[in-house]
Amino acid sequence: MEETKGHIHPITIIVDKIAQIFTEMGFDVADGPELETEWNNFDALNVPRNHPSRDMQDTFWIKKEKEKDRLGRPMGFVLRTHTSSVQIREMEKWARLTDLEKKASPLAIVIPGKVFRNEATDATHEAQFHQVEGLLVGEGVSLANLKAVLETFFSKLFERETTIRMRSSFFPFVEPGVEFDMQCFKCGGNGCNVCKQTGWIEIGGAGMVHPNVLNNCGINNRNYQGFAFGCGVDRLAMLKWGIDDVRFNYNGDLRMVSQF
Amino acid sequence: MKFSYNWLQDHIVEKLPPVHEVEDILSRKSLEVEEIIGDIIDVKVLPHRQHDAFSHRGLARELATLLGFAGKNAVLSDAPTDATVPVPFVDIEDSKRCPRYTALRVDGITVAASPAWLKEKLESIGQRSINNVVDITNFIMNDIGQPMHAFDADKVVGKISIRVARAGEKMTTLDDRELALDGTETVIADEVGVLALAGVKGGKKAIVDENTTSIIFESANFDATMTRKTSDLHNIRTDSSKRYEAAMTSEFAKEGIIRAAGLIAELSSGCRVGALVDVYPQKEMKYKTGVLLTEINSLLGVSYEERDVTRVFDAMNFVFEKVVPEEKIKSLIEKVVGVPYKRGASVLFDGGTAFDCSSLVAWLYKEAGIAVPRVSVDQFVYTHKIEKDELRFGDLVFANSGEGVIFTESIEFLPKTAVPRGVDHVGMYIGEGNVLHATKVKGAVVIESLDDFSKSRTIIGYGRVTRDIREERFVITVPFERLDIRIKEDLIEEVGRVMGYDDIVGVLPKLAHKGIPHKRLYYENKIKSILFNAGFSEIYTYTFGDKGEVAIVKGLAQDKEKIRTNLGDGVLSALEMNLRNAPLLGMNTVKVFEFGNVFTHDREWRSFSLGIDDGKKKSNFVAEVEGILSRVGEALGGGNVSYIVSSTKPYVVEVDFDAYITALPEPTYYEKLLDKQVDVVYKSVSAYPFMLRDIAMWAPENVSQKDILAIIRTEGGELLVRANLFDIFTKEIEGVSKTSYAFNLVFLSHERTLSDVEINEIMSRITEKLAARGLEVR
Repeated sequence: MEETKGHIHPITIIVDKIAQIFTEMGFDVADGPELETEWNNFDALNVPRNHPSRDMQDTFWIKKEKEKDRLGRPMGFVLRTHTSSVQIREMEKWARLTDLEKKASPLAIVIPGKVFRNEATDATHEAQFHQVEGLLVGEGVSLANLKAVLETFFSKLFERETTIRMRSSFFPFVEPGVEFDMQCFKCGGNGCNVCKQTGWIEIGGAGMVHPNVLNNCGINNRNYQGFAFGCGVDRLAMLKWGIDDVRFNYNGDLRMVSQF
Repeated sequence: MKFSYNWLQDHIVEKLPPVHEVEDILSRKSLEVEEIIGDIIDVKVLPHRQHDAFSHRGLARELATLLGFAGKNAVLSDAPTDATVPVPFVDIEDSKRCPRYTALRVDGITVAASPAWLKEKLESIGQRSINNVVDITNFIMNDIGQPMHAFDADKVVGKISIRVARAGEKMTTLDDRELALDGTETVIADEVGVLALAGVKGGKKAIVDENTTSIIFESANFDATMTRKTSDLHNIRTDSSKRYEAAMTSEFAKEGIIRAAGLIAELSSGCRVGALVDVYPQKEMKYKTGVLLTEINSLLGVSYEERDVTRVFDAMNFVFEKVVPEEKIKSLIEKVVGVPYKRGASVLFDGGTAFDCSSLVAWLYKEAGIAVPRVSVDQFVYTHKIEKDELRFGDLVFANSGEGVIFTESIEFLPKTAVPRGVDHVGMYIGEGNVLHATKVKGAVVIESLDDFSKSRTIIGYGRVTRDIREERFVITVPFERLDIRIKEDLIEEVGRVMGYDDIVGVLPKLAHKGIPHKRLYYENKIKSILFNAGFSEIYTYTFGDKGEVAIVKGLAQDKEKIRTNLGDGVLSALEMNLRNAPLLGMNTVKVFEFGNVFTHDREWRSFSLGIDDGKKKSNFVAEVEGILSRVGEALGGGNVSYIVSSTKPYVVEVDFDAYITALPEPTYYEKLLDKQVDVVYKSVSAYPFMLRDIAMWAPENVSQKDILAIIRTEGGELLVRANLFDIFTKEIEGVSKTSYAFNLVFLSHERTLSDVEINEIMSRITEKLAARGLEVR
């Protein structure tokens, strides 16, 4: 038997769906480098140096001479630990628009991309994986907006009406900060093995962009506010289709890919 | 951190609901509960609450707030002090490293096992009981969050100083580690040597052991950054360092040591408690921060009322007022007139007793619950610009005195915003042509007419801090231990989470037009579509490996510390691996491609690579690839796609994708890659090798390929995962037309490696059934 058509990788399939859903809602799809500055990956995001907040993400540092950041401090280079670094780049660009332009065009982007964490690998953890983050900055943007956007996203991705619940949490770049769960797409909330009988699936983190982050990007936090969210794309693929080992997403093995 | 349900209950008046209800409310509105074992609750305390919730009292207060209960406030009983006990002499060299140090000596103690209640409490949360003295310090830390230490007083020589270590100084820790200090660490030392790494680890020099009869308790606060740096440098993390490194209040130090003294008096009868030493150069002041109801509702997207907010603040035991800023500031004017001028005055510590021009403005507005920047040039950028004839109470007047340091760009607020005319002075307009300001010239806060104010200075502009100066707002005096509450967003979070996020109704933002994909995604999709239709399968491989120019400082393994310069190597390995599995995949030719970023010292770019092989020496895929790439060139409109050949056999090529798309137009809409839904029930990849068997047979006319396959599949069972027809021809034999079929059978188990014996058996059964149907198996 010869194959006629090939196979698209499940990560690409999810990213395609994400792009469809979000461009339909009015969000652009943005991109940025994987090798990033410490400023874009941490400092600009209000993740302070020498602070337990940095422990929240294990980082790969690059063997490269440090440069000076805009505050004159030594600045290192990393493999980005999240695609939030692209949010910083886009916010800095948007900051340069006039107030009239900003009001006419809020900053609305999603950023799917490869990220890197210095963690031991197993069936559910990889040192490189894909994330998708979203950002909306403008006048009067609220947590209620965030909730609706997430509900629309997951409902369309899993092809059924899905609600979201938000739990109080903490990330240095948002305030309030939340973690969000989606209603289990398999049992609709009644309890099953996918959601470990709870009816809910933990899926990501989010919150209202911290005013320090806006200020670091040159955006006047008196006039503008925004929300941001992030979740793992590999996790979405594994949930949607039952892929049981994340390492198969990156070992080039067609025994996984050819099933799609 | 592990919390004992019963210990939490000790701090709350009302009876707590059952454990799982406690877990639920904590996880939704506060901190995540990771695990419950019996009545021990393991809570994930994130950095923002490490200051106050790393203790039973702290978490109990949080619970009380969420449940609407009352926290118990312990009554501190002062143990009577004995004047015969020598008082330790304590000296803090740098109060930035150590904002507060309390010490207290107790003589005549007997170091012994702790009483059962204390042992049980500590052991219930996974702590080891050591002896009564050490256990008391551990108990205080886990009870109220104040780390403590105890030294054997007889091993301490002379004065205790909290100072910087000297480079090369040595110390042996309590657990026998030899440390060489590099001169950055804060240490507790006596006149002879180092007693402890401040906030991190005690030293063996003054260890409390079974022979100790006099102890000195330490209850202090140490700078967060220094503690963490020292902890990282020497790779020592302790319960104590974990608390200091996130920063904590100095206000629990005295309470901690008094309670420790009370406890040792109880546990070691006959001991004598000495007088307290409390070195606290700059007492902490409470922060004030404010928020408007409209700000709360705007950020959360809700319609809470005033009483909702007051209910939350009451439940949190916040001291708060409802303030009309204009009235508040007016009421403070007479208090500040005449207060001395001090350059660089602290808003927090000097507020009310000394001011410079901008700290006065910042302080007045802070008292009214409005945060403004600290420096005058930032205040200029921050305020809404108005004209002189619009001036009303509360507006700021900015000037350039022409002397000294003049700022021409903002520092913290929208950093580097240009203020070309320069600002170095600010005053507040208070009506009737008058300005209130703290002036170096008069050495104090004065009220002057705007005309007089303008005589010796160039007026740069007028600014309004807020349009809502007459609107009532909440002004909260933040408890000492809540270092996480500083700005209005922190208050909004408190309201939001206590009210609960569940009832927030989602509202879709109205965005004007459909979104646009970035250039790479748009053109990648076009290429992926062509490749997919040409039979290629997409892979992603690892960015790091053992070859590359750019390196990682500490990778996962030695062969994973370089970052790839190309995709071709990964595609080649993938081809080789997949070829070995070709029968299982049902492929004769393996075709793969990858899009990804590659790196050299100077550049990071998106590349794509494709590879084909069928394992046959004679095959040549050059033409096929050229055909595909020419289709790509046509579809994208960028002309010839130049590529490099990474490998000739298997055939792998690579294209600098970023270079190719540079000249192409920016996309204006998103074109989806896949049309239909992808419904897949994924089958786990087996960890075990597959086995191959060929079977060939002659079939009479009345038996079809379908019939044959049905027999093979039935007899093959679950273990047969593929039956590939690889040869078919018809021949006349002895006048009868017969067709020959040859199949390649692939067997695979998900549980074990299959044996020849097993497969042979299956093959016999297949052969048997085929023969029964009239087929001649050869």
